[in-house]
Amino acid sequence: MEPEKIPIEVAVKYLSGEASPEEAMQFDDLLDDPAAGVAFEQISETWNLVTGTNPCQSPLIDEAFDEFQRSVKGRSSIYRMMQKKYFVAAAVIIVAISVAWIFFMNDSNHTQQLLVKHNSTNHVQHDSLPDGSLAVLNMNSTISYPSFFDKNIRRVNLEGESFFEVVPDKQRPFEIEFGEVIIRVVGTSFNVREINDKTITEVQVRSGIVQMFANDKNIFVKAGQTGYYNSLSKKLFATNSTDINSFSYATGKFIFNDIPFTIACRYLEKNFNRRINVDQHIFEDCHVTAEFENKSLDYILEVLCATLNATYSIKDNAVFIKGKSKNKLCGEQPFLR
Amino acid sequence: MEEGFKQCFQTYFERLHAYAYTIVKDNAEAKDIVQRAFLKLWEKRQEINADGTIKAYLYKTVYHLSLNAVRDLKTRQKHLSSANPSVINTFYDPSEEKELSARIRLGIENLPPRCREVFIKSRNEGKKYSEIAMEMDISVKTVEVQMGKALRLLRESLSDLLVFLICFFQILNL
Repeated sequence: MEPEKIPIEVAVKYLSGEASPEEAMQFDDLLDDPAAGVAFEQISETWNLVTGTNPCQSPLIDEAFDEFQRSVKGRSSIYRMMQKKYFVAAAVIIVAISVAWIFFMNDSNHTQQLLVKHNSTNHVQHDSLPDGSLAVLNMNSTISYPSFFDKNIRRVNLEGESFFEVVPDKQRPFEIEFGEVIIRVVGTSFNVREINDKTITEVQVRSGIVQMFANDKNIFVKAGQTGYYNSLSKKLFATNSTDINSFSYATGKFIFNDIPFTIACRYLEKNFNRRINVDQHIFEDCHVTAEFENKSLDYILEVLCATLNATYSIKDNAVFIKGKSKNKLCGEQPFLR
Repeated sequence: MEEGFKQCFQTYFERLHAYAYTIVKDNAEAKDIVQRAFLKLWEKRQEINADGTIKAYLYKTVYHLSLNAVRDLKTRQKHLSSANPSVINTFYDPSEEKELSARIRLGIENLPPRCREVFIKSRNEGKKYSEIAMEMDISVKTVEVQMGKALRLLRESLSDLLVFLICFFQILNL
């Protein structure tokens, strides 16, 4: 036996997951020598034993390659499909532009709505606007805008709910007509929706600054603030907080900071469009603290359930969460917001 | 699919998987990472051509994907372990497991003090080599040497437990 065919500290560094890509490459070149391969096997076995690591089992290469080919094919067929879709979309846009052009030539009033996109699907739609700004359109929402923006202003019309990331352009403010309210920005990201049975317009600002206009009055809403317009009292006002979880559909982020589990479920419900049934009695005092970014509903449920000693099941598109009993993990902290 | 790409896949898949595994410590996750690295390469295959660059690209991509996976896993484990700390050990027979871990613990306790400190910081406290070097005011190279030494000494003191390899070498020698 020649255990020193490879320096043990190099092998250990590799096994600890400390090897940089360059070191790993060099190390693998060493292993081309069969004797070094055997020496490394021996070091690995000791390593796995003393560190309690499971041995590494490489998958069969042929199977892995088949799997790889399948995912490449899957991708290219999606790509082809998208190309076809883009072709149709491009055709529609060209027709719309031509029609718009005719209107434009004949009509001095050029605030016409030219492109109308309605999201009737059951998932969120990402839409690039003519200036490169992004609108993340929630379900059952409609946005309309001209196929090219005016020289002095970028104006869109919104119904429903959307998150915007607006490309900065000081010469051309970006305006959203939303019912009775006009929201004007220069370059920023924010979420727009109606709450309380459509009586209140809510604008949550994530970055930059937003100006809201209604009834000849206006307010400025800064990053981290939420602006409201009450259509009953006809008043504009702002608060010093935003609810980041209410627009997770656009950002993919959930930040649960010691909030009641049942509320957390309501957020998940809204953003994943799934009914979540929670045993109210068992979980009424449960609070959760967790952060997720671009995670699936399954992943999030798994983590939350593990934390709360609960289990979940999915039946007919609805989620059922069951707990064993009121447990100690559920504190009695008050809900602060 | 181009023949050259297939060959590249076959040459590097296993090594990359082993490399990803050292970082993420999970076979399925490692496999997933390597598949994703090859998908990235596939998309960029027009730009990257020379063999040396392909290899470096794959290792680098696997490295970064692995680090990201570990970061995600850590967040997740924080939740899991606080909820159910007993889950990890249920697989073993408790009496056997006790004896084995007692032997390993003894082996670790008998290491020279510096060597033991480095080893425990790395394995039990999950610290990076660079963190250990900083805490103990030694060079990263010294950490590497001490870790190597720790494993060599442990291999000696636990040699009778390393059954599989004894058999393996006997077969080889025939």
